[in-house]
Amino acid sequence: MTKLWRTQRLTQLRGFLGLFAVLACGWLIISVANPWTVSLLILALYYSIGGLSFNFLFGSLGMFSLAQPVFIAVGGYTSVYLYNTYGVSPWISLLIAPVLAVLVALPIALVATRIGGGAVITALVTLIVAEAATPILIAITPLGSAVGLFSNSPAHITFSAMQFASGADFARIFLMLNVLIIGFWMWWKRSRFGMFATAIKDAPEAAESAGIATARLRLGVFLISAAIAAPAGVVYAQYFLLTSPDLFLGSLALFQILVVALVGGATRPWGTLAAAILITYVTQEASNLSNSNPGATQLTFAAIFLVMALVAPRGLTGTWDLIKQRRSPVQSGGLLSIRIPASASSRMSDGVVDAGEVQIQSDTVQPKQVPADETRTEVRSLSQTTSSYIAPIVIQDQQEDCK
Amino acid sequence: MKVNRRPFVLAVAGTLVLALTVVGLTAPTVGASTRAKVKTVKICDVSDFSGVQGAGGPTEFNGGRIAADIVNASGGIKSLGGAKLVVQKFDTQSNPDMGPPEANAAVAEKCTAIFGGTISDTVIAESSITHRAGIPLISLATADELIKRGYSNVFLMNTTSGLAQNYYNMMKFVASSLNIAHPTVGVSINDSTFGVEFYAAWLALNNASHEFNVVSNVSYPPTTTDFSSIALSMTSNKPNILFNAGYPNDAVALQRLFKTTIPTTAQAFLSTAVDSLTVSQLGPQAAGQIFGDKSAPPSNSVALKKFNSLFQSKTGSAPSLSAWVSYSAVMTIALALQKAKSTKGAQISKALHQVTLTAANGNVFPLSVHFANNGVLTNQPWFWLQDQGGQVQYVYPTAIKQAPLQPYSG
Amino acid sequence: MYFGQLLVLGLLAGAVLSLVAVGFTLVLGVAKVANFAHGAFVAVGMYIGYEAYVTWRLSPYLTLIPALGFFVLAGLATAEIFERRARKIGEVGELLVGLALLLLINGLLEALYTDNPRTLSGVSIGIVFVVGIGIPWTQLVAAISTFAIAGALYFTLRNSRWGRALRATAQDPMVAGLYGIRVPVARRAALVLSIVVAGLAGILIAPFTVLTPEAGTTFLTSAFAVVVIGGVGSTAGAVTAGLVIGVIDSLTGGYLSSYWTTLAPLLIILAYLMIRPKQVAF
Repeated sequence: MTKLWRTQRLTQLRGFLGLFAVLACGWLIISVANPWTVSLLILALYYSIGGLSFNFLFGSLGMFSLAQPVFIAVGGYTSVYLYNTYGVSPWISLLIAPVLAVLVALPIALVATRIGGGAVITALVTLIVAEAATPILIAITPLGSAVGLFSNSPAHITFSAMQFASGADFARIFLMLNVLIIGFWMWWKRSRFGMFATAIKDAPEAAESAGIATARLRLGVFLISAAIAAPAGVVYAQYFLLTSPDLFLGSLALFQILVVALVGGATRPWGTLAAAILITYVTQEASNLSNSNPGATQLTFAAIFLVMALVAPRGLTGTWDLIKQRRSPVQSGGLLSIRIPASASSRMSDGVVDAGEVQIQSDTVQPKQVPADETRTEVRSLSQTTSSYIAPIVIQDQQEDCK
Repeated sequence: MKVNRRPFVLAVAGTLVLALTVVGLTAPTVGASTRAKVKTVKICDVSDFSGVQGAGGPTEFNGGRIAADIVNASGGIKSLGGAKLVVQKFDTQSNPDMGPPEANAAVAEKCTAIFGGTISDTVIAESSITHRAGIPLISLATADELIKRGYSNVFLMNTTSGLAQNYYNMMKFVASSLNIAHPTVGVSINDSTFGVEFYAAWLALNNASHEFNVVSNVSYPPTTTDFSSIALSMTSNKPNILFNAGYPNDAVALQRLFKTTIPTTAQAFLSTAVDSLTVSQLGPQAAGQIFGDKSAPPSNSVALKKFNSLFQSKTGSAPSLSAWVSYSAVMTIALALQKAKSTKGAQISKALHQVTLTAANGNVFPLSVHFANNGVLTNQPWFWLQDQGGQVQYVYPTAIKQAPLQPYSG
Repeated sequence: MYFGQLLVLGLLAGAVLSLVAVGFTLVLGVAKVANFAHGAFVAVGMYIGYEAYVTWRLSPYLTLIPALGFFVLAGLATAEIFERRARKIGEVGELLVGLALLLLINGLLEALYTDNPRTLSGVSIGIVFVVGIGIPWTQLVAAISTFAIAGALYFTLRNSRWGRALRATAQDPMVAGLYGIRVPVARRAALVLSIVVAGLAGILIAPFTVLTPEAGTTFLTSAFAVVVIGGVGSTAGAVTAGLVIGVIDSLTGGYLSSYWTTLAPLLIILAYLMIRPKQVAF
């Protein structure tokens, strides 16, 4: 089993090297590009963080949360309010804002995780919450109500107030945030928590009976996604020198995040970043192509989006996975691995495992995405065929190497 | 040990390619003009040509373009060797997020001045960029923040406080011409940056002079489409004057309700309604409504006639206030360029504070206009009209009055 | 009588909301599809009514029958997209496609009509005065139609064979399939029905509403709220919840400030969800 472990570790290392390459390339590009490209990159990187926050939640747990703009807004308001009132540097707000975002997210997470019913209902509920945020913000007068707060940041350049001569430095900050978040997500996927989250997503009852604290993990993932989103607001508010409900919570903002996240795909972290850059670019081109007729830009963009939704609905990363899958030779059988959580394997006797606790994975055949209640049926039928097919089956225990 | 390196390489390569494409295709064309004499001067219209406010963009652009044509036809900027004016447009897509990139693009395209834009947040973001680049910005947005920052190169056609003053003066006129002794007001406020600031400024004026008694006050979210309860609330204490601090669309909805569902005894209804919109949409239901912005400035100036006919022939439709305003912006910039004898931003900004647009040099409005020290236009063109039985008449200021003010109901 | 007036206005507004929500809840319950573009079809209906009046000088009510055909076709096309492509990918695909459709329809409407508000000022079949406010008959017709359509839907779902098939599909698609119900057809039917109801609702409300392309999105978010409270798939629930939310909106708008107008219904929904979370699952 150490072979598999080594492969996994190498894959992880590969991933981090790739990430570092992206950081280096991005840094270089920001340094040489003209200010307009840089300001577009800032937008793309900013939307990307929102998308990452969304996709982290969606990819780990399958939860569709439309409340991410609220957490970004928390970041924005924190940095401007603390600076205006107490002179607290935005760099410190980068640390404070995620904490506040988590506090704000707690009641939302409690409601969202208590409700069953799948992604759609969660989407509706979080949308309602996002709608509620604007009137609440407007009601809090020290936060500027509808007008918002203008940052009292000095007009000249100060590092401590996060004011720079050009947009390039803002772009660099956003780039580093992106890299940090993607790195975190990559680590998460391979970590114990990531595995547990996948288990909860694919077979919640099985995960429960295996002893995973589903409720707490669900809550935790939601809170982490909120914490991820907040820093984006902190930096953007300093870039814009303004924080207002309309800037962060307008329908445009939510839409941008959603599109970036969905086009990017939730299976791999880099997809969201690539999608953000792509979409910002496409929007610009659409604007140029349509010769700036009102409505024509949106129409062009919508047409492109519809085509994409029909042709590659899993997003960039999903399609990437699909292509990768199709390129490797499909063998009948191949390497089939059955994952059994540690606690279950210790209860195993005679090699008989309760079908509900088993996760089937295969290198060569993409498992069909089936709803949780049908997983049992699938496994049952599979075990009927594999009972006579013993040799190729590799049983891999998650927690320890096979003896 | 099978480690497939290909996906890794592909990922890095893909990111590189993507990023370089973005850089390559969005970099402006290389080709610096290092000529001794300046042949063209570029003025940029950064405004919304698509999205929610997109309908206004083309009119604004055309107004500016025609101004440039008029200047060029009479020899261009003579102090710069007859340099011709060129107007280029940039689309901020009704999205404040697009303010910085488009302003940066304009700066990259070597614009000597920027005009346009109506959404406050967008223009505020642009002002940071233009301030850093040192080029003047003339905008149609009214947010007071633009003045508060004290940037010497930001020029506004009006501020929200100035707007509030206009409305306050009109209300005083209404009270006096309709003989209302202790006028009461029923207010509704759109909870957006504009609405809140607008009403706050009006309230400040009222708190200083105590002319009006606000008897009902309701605010609503910007996304409201059903105004019935708001109309009901506004009329609930039977005010003399109804006042909506919101957007033209809100005014259309409210006007309709007052004429059909929610009867009112108020004698005037003031809002930010635009008559061309309301009258065409509501027809007879627009009766009695007062408008503060109009399709033709009441002036017989030669410049106005010339501009109107040029606009009609080049675009096929009649101009509106934003066209005259952008025309005035470009004309003023031309005057400033002439005076400054340079294309440097700082010099143009200084000159903009010193020039005056008069009937002699192309002013289309009844009074001469120039920018005050704080960057706001003096003698802002503002006229009041009323829909009287289907015909729209000027009612205030007295100098250009065509008909007496009529009470709203009845 | 201020309260009475607000109540009446709220009930009228709520009736419109119910009509939009009824279609949405149907498709959500039966086809398990959250059709993001639902509100957009209402907007399309509104503009059809507008075109009929402005271009052909016809009363919008005359367009109800021909528009029915148009929306059936539109519904079939949309159902085709949803069934063929979106279904295969799971829930995300449907959300994506719905979102893309919403964008497309919105963009089209904006390109055609821009953002200037439109009204059908001349369509008037008289005003009736109730509790001191004048209610245009057009609004009453819309309200009555809501109850008629909702009632028709309710009885069809309850009593006809067709309706029972749809309800069975909503409850458990797999078992329904075992009983010989062609589930994909049922899903398509639900989608077509919901789009038809949405479109007709748009035509009915056009005479007394101020038309803008964004109106579609506003209806969508309100429909969400109604469906969450009224229960997914329940027609009666959608009507009741719609009326309740309409009244609450009106009362908060009349008595309290702006943020309560948006906040109050949302708080109620959240409270409801906290108390009975499992009711919402489908």
